[in-house]
Amino acid sequence: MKTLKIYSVLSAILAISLFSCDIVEEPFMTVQEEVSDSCEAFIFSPIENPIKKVLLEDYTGQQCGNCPRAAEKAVELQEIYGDQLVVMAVHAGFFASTSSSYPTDFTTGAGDDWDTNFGNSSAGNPNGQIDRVNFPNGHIYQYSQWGQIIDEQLQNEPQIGIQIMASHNEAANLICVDAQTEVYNTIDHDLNITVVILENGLISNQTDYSVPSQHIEDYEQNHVLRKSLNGSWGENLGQESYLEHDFIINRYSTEASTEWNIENMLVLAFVSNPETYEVLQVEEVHITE
Amino acid sequence: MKRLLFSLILSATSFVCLAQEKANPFPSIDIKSIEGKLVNTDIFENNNQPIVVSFWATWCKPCAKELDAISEVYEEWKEETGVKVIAISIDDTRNAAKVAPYANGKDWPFEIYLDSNSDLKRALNVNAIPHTFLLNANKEIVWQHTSYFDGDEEELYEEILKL
Amino acid sequence: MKNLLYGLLLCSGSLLAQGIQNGQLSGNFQSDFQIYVEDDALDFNLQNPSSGFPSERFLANGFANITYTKDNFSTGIRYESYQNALLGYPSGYKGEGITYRYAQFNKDGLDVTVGNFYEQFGSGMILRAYEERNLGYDNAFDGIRLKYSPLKGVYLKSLVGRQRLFFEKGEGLVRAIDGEISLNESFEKLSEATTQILLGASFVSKFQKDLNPQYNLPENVGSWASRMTVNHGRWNFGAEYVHKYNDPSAVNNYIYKNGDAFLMSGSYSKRGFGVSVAAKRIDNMDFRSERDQNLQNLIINYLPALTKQHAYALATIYPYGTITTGEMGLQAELNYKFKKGTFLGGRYGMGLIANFSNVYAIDKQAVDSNTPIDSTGTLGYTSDVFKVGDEKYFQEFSVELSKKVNRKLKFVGTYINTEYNSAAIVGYKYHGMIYSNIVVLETQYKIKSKHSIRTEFQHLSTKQHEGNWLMGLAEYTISPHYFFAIQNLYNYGNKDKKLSYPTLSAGYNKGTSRFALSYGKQRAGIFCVGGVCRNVPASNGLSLSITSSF
Repeated sequence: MKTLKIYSVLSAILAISLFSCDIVEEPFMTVQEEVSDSCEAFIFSPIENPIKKVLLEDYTGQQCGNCPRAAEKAVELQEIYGDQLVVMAVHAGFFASTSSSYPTDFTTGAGDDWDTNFGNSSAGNPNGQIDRVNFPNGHIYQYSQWGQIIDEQLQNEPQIGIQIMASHNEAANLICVDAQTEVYNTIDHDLNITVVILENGLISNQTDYSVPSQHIEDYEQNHVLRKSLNGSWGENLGQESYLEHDFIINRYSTEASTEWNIENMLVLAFVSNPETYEVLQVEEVHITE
Repeated sequence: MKRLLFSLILSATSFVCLAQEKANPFPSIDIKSIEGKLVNTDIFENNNQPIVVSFWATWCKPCAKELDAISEVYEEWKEETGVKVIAISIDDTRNAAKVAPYANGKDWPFEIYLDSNSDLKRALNVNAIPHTFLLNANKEIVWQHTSYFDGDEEELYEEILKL
Repeated sequence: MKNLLYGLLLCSGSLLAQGIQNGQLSGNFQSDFQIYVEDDALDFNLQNPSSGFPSERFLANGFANITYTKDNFSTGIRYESYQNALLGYPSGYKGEGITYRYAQFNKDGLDVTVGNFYEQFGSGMILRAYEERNLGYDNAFDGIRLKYSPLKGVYLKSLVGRQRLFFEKGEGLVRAIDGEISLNESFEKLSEATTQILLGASFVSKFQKDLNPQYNLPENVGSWASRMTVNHGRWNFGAEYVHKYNDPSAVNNYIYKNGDAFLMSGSYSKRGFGVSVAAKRIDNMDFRSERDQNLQNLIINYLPALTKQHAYALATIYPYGTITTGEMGLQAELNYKFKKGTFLGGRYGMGLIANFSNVYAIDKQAVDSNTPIDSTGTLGYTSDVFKVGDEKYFQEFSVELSKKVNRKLKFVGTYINTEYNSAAIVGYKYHGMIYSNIVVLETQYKIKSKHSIRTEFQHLSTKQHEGNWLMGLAEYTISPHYFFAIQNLYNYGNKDKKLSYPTLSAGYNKGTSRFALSYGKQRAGIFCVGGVCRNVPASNGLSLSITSSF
């Protein structure tokens, strides 16, 4: 009957209007942390032999039984490519959730935002991105392909270079980070810099389908993303286009969390094209005392 | 002159309407017989009497209910109208070997064919099963219905009687 | 001026009509909309990012097919939109566009298709491109297909193409050829014989460039298959063997072992009785047009599960999926109708369907003492064809009895006993072997002409995983147009959370159109294929589904 047809369509429309409605509460603007005065500015000299480094983002989770295979592949590839391969483990999605047997939470705001935008965990874990190339169709790679894509990316000449100085100011309980981006070729689009903190050597629970008990209690998680210092999508480097010899300095500071083991921590910075998300260069350093 | 143009246009539009009203003939697609032989739907014939084509699968419970219900009254239907029911299974290799035993186990008196890769299902625009078609003496589709509720076979019979 | 414009519009309409007069235009359409509601009991909300609650709140899928056929020519087009795709659909479905278009003509026995097409060779174990819209499965080819019958009873097919991957195409090229001969049609002397024999053979090869710095990969991977079907009156027998040459891929951990698949089935049936048995063995037969894909992406072939496909809700909690890297098993089914008038048959007869199936691992032995089984970059393992592996993957026994008591009342009673190796099949490794027993009682009662009520009562009992479940359903139908249903699944045996999944639904049918509205909760699921696991989150919401064809 026509009336039923009309009612069902009307109820659908009503339901849409009722439920597809977000109400945002304060704060309305994201607040950027100011650099603390306790952090001293660092002066960088230009890089002598700039080399292209590639960022491998391994989207993983503590309850993902196949993910240790991907982590092993990343280790294998680091043995081949050395410093030129920088690895970041992003814990996000369903398999990174906590439970009674997996109480630690390795997820982060930035990691969750990236995962929602790039869709890594909904494509099935483990998987990864290399320099975030080929978004939106083809940016997610299985670990068996990582070698091939890293190899391809390393063929590119470095268009920019990044230097980072990261130190731990014990007295003020701060981590001070200075990052300098130097440009080698003309770049006629925007650039964003994202600066994050990673931690190595975190011992915790991990599901692993290759062991009989399927569970490892003292699994070592490395390159774990802990926090972003400048939001999920980073900070614009400030110019509309860039010329050879341009350089931009960004400074950050953040309170060191008591959970962190500073000895095992690194600061990783990558510069990317905010429209295509493609990463042009990446650098990572250990935090010095 | 304007009037002539207008009437020409009017007759042209009625052409459009007529074209839409014409029933679609049953498509000519290759499917398989219950013995696995390649056959074309052109061989479906019933001496210019109505044909009912029903899509089913071994895992589709409403389909089984529909075919059970028709099989109970099939003798009467055949006597009154001479209708023939052809049941086409869309079961793929997972269940294709079980189609004949299943249909026989249910004691169905219909001709059974297999459309394992859904070629006929696609050609007939079938989205969900059960989906049943009624063909007239010229093998044109005059009526079709999707899904099955208890008692739907009565509506099908009314449509058959109209022919 | 306006009149002239109207006139022109109608004119073009009439020209179209003239063209359509000799051809047929038809099409179909389906649209699914869902509005998600936050649910704290299911932990399905925006605060919990891993819950999968969609920030869009409203998700919609839709597609429409239009086909035009005239004499020996047909053409069609399909538009799909995922803005954004409903939860549970493969995540690659994002956006909208034309995903399927083809032109086909048939002249002098040569059938040519250009564009997108679906195809199956034999059982599909060597090649099958098909679609399952509700699961989001579609591996259609985009290329050229030729079909030709040079002699009576001889059928040849060949194709070249790339496969669909969501809104893109896979990199790999697939080339294939298939030949089938129906001996009874080809040879005059056999045309009247009761024994009908069909023989077939296929060859499929795929090409993908080797850009991998670590492995030396075969760029062309070939496979061949041969099959036979014999039909003798009430007896039917079929067998197919597929062999695949070295195909190192992400799913098999880049081993260089060849793959085999063997499927055999036999059945006997006559009115009122049918029995079928089938056996299969699969060894390293995951075959995709791109070697680094997994889940449901770019699969060239189809390896059927030989287990019974269930429709009852609780019976789909532990579904079996073929383990393409290696499995072997068998299935037997008995279909029988107790005649009217017999003791068990009663006034209307009673139907019986009994089914048994099991699946085991294949035997895997190391290639040599230094190489563990399945080591990457090696031959992997050797396997004795006739030896059954140690691990049991699945076993199931089910019985279904259906009986019509009187003109108003029908019963269907079902019992299913399942052994489900969650470690091997889905990846719930920590739940090991799940033993479950399911009983279902379905009743159909005809209240009056055209009004009928159907109820289902289901119970699943298990000591593993989430424990016992209880399910109830009541569906009221008014022939031929309406249905209303209410159902609930209750996981009362769960030690952590006793969750309930109630749903309310209603629908309207007329001719080829169907509208269905439902409001309620859905269970979560985990889906693992080829070393990658996806999660379908538990959800709550209102959904509307519309389907129609013309």
